[in-house]
Amino acid sequence: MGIDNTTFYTLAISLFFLSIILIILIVSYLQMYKRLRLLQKEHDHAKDVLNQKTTRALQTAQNKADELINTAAKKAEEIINNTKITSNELQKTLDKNLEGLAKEQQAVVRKHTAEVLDDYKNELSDIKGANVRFLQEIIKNLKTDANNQIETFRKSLENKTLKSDDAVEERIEKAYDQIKIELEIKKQEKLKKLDEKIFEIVNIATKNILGKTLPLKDQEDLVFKALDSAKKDGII
Amino acid sequence: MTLNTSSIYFDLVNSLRTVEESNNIIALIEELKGSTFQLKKNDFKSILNNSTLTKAGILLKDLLVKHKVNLSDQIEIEKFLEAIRDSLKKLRSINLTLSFIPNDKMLDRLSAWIKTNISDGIMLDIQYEPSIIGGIKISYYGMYKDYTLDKAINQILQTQKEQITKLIA
Repeated sequence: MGIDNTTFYTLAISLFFLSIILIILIVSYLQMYKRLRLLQKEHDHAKDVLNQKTTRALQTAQNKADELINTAAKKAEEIINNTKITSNELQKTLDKNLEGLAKEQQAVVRKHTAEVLDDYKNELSDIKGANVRFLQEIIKNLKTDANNQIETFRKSLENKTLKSDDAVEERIEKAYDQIKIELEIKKQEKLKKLDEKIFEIVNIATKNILGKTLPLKDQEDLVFKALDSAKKDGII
Repeated sequence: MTLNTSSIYFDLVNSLRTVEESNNIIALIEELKGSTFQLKKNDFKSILNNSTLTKAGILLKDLLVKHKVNLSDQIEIEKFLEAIRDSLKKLRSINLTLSFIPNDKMLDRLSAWIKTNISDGIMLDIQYEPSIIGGIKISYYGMYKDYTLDKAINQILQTQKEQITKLIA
């Protein structure tokens, strides 16, 4: 199998161009690498310079801060000392003012108290009068109510008494009737028992008398009469 | 000797009136039957000739004599006694409750009445109960009836109870 010329030349040209592109790329890469190394060095240098500057700035700031703090402390001590002096003076002034104010207030309070007391007395007097009238009214009403209630109660009592009298009378009558019935029953029972007893006595007496007084001949005749009856009755 | 049982029965019916008399005869027969094997010939004769014989003894002796029983012949005596006992077993009875104890005369009358009005061979079984006052209670062949004065008085008093009570009260 063979490759035609056209294809061969095309491939060769393509390979040539590709080689050139590869070379260009390698050269470019190397140049870029060199530049990167350079930049890295610059960066490191700049970083070192910056660190040094920062350290110096921090040191300076520390120093400044210490100085400020010391100054502030001194100032604060001075202020506190001044303040103590001012407080004592202020206290005295305040006491004086308060004393004056208290006196004024006392006067005002006294005045108001007197006024309030007067008002209270007047009010109390008014209330007292009103209360007396109110109480009198209440007592009057109570009295009226009590009288009314007593009257109602009296009437009710009269009615109830009358009704009660009727009820009692009715109950007594009922009880009386009941007792009459019970007495009648007991009387009948007693009479019945008495009758029974009398009858029993008569029975015994009759038999005793008859048994003792009946002659033997009559006894014998009775036996034969009985036998005749038994024969008639078909017993024998 | 030939035993005439009908004749023995007839004699017994004529001679006996009550169940008690009949029972006495039976008791005596039992006694004599026992003794016939133990006593000598003359001993039996001497018993029957004893003057202290009971009514039952006298009746039995009369029957032995009447029927010419050889008192020396123990077997004959035994047969006769057995015939009497058999005849007594055939007798019937009527129960009568009286308010008094009947005497012999009354028993004769009662026995005669029974024989006349009912039948021969019925013995009187008499009971005594004074509370019945008078009359009789009869019990015969499962039948019973009260013909007493006690019952009659009770009936009269019951019917007249109200009037009697009113009269007394």
